[in-house]
Amino acid sequence: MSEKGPKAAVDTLDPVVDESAETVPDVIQPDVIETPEPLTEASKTEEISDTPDAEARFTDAEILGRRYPVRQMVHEIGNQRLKAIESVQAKVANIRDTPQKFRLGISHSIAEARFNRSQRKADEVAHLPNTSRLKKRRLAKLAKAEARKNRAKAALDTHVNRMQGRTESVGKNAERRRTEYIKELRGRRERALARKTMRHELRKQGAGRLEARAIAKEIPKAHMDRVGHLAAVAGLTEKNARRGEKDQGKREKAVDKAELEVGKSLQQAEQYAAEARDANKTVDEIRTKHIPDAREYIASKQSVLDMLNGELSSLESGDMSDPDVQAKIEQTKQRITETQVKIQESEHQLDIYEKRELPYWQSVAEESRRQVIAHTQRHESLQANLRDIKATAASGAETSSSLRATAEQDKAARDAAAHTASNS
Amino acid sequence: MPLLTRTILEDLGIQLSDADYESLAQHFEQTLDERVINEIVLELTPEQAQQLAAMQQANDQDIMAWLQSNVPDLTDIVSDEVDILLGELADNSDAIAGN
Repeated sequence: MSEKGPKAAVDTLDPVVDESAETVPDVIQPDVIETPEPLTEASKTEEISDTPDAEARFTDAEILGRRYPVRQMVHEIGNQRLKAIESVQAKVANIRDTPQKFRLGISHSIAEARFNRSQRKADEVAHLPNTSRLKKRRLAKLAKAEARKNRAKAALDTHVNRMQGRTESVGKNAERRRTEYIKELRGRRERALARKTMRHELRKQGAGRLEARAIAKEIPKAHMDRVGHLAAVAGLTEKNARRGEKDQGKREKAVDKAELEVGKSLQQAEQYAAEARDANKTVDEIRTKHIPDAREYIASKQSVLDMLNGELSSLESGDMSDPDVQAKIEQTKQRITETQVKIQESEHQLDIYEKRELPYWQSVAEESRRQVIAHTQRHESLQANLRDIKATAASGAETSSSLRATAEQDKAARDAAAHTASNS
Repeated sequence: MPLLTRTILEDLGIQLSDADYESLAQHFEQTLDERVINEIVLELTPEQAQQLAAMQQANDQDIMAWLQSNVPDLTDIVSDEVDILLGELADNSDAIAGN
């Protein structure tokens, strides 16, 4: 069973009027095949007493303190039980016929062997002229053997068909009873719908209960049947209309969802485009500003360093015993160290710009561009999907309106019939 | 004993597992109860409806007795709703058996 199960199937119970249900199943010709007869009422009653739940099925008929027809509709004996009984009957009859089948099978085999032998002998004299006595004799024997073989084959086939027919007819009988039961339940339903519709109509007209009951009894059966049929059709079309409206609601929700998705994909594409622009801008800034600035700074510091190295050389070539010179040398050395540190720091920063920052922002820009392309494509696909969904929803809306119109027409026809019946 | 017996289902060609049968029988009776109640309510006057509403603490027998005396068509209503529901079941027997 599917995950929905039988309960889900009952949820979708539709009052379908199925003409095919009235089709009478094939009947096997009794002179050809002997079939087990469906059980008679008397035999059914005998079977009932043998079934374990018979007592419950026939005495537990009280619902709400009164007997009402549901129990009457429970067949005296279930279709499956009848099928089992008929199946046993067919098997017993087939067992009884099996020795005969065996005998006929042997006769057929012997006849076939004789025919083959005659055929062989006839083939041996095939070259002789047709006037040959030997050929004439063998051909006559062959014709006789063939006739005997055909008779044996026909007898065997008839017997086997009869036995197979018994088995097949068990299933056919069960299917026929099922069809009849379904037809009976449909008829009961239509009659119940007619009574219900008339009850409603008469109540609507303000009839008291006793009056309504008396009036309902006076309405001709044919008219009640018509009301019942129209009520069944109105029930079906109303259910279809409700289902159509429900489906339409789902389609409209799908349109809303698809529109949301389209908007979202566009928003995401725009967001990635902005990210790509920002990343490109950063790449440009690194290339055109930060790296040149760093290089310029390094070059300027390098010239300062060269100048300081020159000053130091000049001071060291002078009077080293002079405390002022010594102090200047120390100062110059300190400035040289500081400048070298600054140059190293700038070179490190330049390295970061060139080897880390630039590739990173380039990859961010590249990834954002790819995302823009992907989201643009997705956006286009979603837009196409949205167009399809909208078209389906538009067509579904027409179907739903049409179903609703049909349901209203059928409802009006039912009410009119009920009104006519109550006033005629 | 359930209203929807296995015999009815088998006669309609519906073979179910125990769990599925229980579920279907329960759903059948719930649906029937709802439909019967809806019909009964249509038959009641506002005063009767109030009386019925006030009987929430009453036992089943008292409620049944009240319904039988206040809803003369009770048997017909129940019977018709059963027939209608069984007819719908018969119409859908192929779909249910196919599940």
